[in-house]
Amino acid sequence: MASIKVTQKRNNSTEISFAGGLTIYSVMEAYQQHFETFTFKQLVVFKLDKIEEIDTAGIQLITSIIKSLLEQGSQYQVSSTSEPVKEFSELFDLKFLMNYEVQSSLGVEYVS
Amino acid sequence: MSLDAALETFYVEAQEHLELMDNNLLQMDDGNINNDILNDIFRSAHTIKGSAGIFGLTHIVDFTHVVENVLDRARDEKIVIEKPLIDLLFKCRDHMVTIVALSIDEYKQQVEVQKKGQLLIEQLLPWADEQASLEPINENKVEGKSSTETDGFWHISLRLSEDCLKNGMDPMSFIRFLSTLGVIHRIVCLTDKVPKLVKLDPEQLYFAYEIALESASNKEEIENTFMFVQDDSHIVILPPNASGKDFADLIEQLPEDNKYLIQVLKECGTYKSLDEKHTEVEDNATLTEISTKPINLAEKPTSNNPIKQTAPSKQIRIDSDRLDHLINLIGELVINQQRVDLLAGKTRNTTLIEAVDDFESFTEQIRDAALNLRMIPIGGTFQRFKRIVRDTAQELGKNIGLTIIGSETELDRLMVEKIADPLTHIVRNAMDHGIESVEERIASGKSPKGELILKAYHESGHIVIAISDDGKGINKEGVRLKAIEKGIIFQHTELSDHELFHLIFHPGFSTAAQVTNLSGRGVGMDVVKRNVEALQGSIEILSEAGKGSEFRISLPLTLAIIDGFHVECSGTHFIIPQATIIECLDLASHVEIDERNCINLRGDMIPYLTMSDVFNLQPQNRGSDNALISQASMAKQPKEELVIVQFGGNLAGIAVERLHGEVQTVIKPLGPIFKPLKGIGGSSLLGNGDIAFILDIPQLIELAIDQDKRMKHINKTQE
Amino acid sequence: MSKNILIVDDSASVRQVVSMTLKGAGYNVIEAIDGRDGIAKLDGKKIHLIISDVNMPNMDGISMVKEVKQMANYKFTPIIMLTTEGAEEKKRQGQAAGAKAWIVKPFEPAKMLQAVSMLVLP
Repeated sequence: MASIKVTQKRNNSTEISFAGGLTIYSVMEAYQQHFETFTFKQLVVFKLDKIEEIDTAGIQLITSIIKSLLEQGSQYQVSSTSEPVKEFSELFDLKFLMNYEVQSSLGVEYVS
Repeated sequence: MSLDAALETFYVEAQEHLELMDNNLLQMDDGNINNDILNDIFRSAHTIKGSAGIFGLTHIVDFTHVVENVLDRARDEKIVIEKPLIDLLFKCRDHMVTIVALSIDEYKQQVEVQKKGQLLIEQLLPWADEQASLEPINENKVEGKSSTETDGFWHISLRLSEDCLKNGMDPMSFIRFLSTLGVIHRIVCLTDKVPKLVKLDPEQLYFAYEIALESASNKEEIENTFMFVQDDSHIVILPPNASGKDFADLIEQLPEDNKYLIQVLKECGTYKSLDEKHTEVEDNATLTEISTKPINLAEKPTSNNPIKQTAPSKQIRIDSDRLDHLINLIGELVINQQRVDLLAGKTRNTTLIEAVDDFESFTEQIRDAALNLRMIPIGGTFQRFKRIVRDTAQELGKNIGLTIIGSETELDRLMVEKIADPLTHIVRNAMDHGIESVEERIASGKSPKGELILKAYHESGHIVIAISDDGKGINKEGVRLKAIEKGIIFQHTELSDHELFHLIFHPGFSTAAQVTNLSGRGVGMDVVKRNVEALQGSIEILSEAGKGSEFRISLPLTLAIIDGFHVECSGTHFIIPQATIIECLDLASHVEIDERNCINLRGDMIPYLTMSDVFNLQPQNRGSDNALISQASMAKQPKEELVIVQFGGNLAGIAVERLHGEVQTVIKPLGPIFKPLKGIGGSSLLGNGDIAFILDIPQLIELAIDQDKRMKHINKTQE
Repeated sequence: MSKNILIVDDSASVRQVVSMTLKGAGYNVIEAIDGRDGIAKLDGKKIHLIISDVNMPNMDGISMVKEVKQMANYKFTPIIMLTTEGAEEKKRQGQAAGAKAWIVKPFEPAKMLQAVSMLVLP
């Protein structure tokens, strides 16, 4: 199961840290408990270094969070990732998870 | 669950496949070369290689791989099957038999075997691929022209069903698997469909994928990767030589914006635009769309699994130890049932006696059914001889054909294994010494092709296996001289033909001018006889100079339980196999002839043996609870009963004191102390606890006939 | 850490072959003899794949699949059904119940290993 901590910080940033397993088994609960309705600060920082297990459902959830915050005009930063997350990102070439800088998009520079 | 048990399954299946390969090769050798046979042989090799791979038996995998490669090329018609290749394939199959039986460690220690393998592989090379590399061969060839191009990348487009994740089919697993087929050069994960949080169903799949894969696999193998997620999916696989048009079609089919897709595909590195040069392959042959029809993963039992000769559902495998255990238990049941029968008889309770009779009837049925489980047709053993005859004929440079009759004749499973060696020796002997060379045969007015017949049939509770040839027959004079030379008989010893032929079975005997590799070293025939006798069987020789010879082996149908007839002589109990009994007579009412132990039975002279004489039995005066028996045994002339038995067309009489009636008995083999005793084939336990000896009828008949001949001879000389 | 695979089949020889094949490839194998036993063996462990026969005493494969799909910790576990040739109806039922993968008996161990590898690598 995933353990999720959302901290709204005073410097106008939201810190979201995931720990444990973020998989199809835990995404629904995580979503319903934390993310169904969400308010983002200007910068959202993702701490992913404590994720022990991740799958497509987990990555999709993170992707959805990012899309939502981007739409609201915020930026995001992936500050740390665990091995499982690194592996998954590399397998699917998910650049946005391998970039530790502050980002304003999902990194897909295509005409949409 | 032990590794041994699973390995056992592998060995059994490998052996079955190797036997199939042999049969198929024999067919091709006979001139039947067609695609079905080629496919079958290929599949056998492919299966063995695959299974060996699972158990890490690399020595088998490596060798079989080259064989498989050649067979694959053969069924693709890239090479032509000719005699030299067939001969070589026979040798390869034989080598596979050898290495399948070895573990890796054993193989590593056997340098000769390794050398042999090496040599065979070298000989195979002219027919194999330039690099018979260890690429997996797909056994199901795709219809139509598949591309042989392996440079460049495959393009795989995946739009999977949104339920994939809920079904446990995470694309992560498939993509990982895909990377075992080659190298994923580039993958683009399209995140477009992922909705914002408010609209998100976290358990649905939104991602789509465009993949560039470098792989030597063929289309079918790549398609198979996605076989479980085809429902509600749109999967497109473009081979490396796909054209611009193919990509244009793909873009058309996909839901995303065209310009966007072009960028994605370019990102993959596989994209070809329409104005690029077309490759030589036809436009319409390359774009493959997988429908939602599932691909069947395993072999279809009916066409691809040639192991089962009969309908697959009709046979099961049984552990042979369990079967033997069952038969033992039934044996004990039979004995016990007899005991109950006896005890019931004593009670004179008719209801009980009737019930026990029913019990007996069922016991008999169970017994027969169980024994039947042990019976298998001899055809399997006979089949092997096709190969032996072929190879041996080649070695000897003779032209010999084999006819098999009665392959459906059944015999006990255990015997099948044990009779193979003796049969082989006799067959080789017939081919080596019996059948003449082509020139000799033509010179004597025979057809140039010698004929060997293997025949099996049932007779009087036995199975008879006859090996006959139309060769030059046994040289009686040669046998005689050799026997004298070896000191087996005296110069003046007179022998019947029957006895003369049997000299061949004497240890140390051989008339072969040169000791050939095959037979004739003098260690053969006596071992054959001993092996046959160890199975409670007997062997008979018939031969006619210039015409041919026949070796006849008879074996009891089962070593386990028989229907017998209980008789008694001088307090010793015997059992005569019922199948051999013709009739029972009162001896006293028949006339003896010429002081020979012979009676006139409806015009025929039937010799007989008195058991007390044959086995040197002393009259017993055992205390018995039956007053009549004591009285009878006190009488000066015990009333004698004569049981007329027959075997192999010969009749003889067994004279005993009392007849006790029918019994079912379990045959227990004799201990070594009884081995030299002629005429006894086993022992048994009677219902009352006494031991009874089972008479070996063929031996006794032989004894009776010989004795009679001697008597006749003595009488003649006396006249 | 090895992946756990549960094989549910009333035939000892099938379990044996599957077990040896998968263990040899690096998976960890748990065996169950029928549907009920299969449910029991799930027992709070992490199971990465279930391979199940259809026809079994006590609880058949399809019923077991239905029950597994109701279990919070196992409802997303991939399931491979073992069917016999021509058992189209069973296959359809299995898929309807949520078992989307299948292998036809008799199967070659290599093929089975391949199917498993597609769904979960060791």
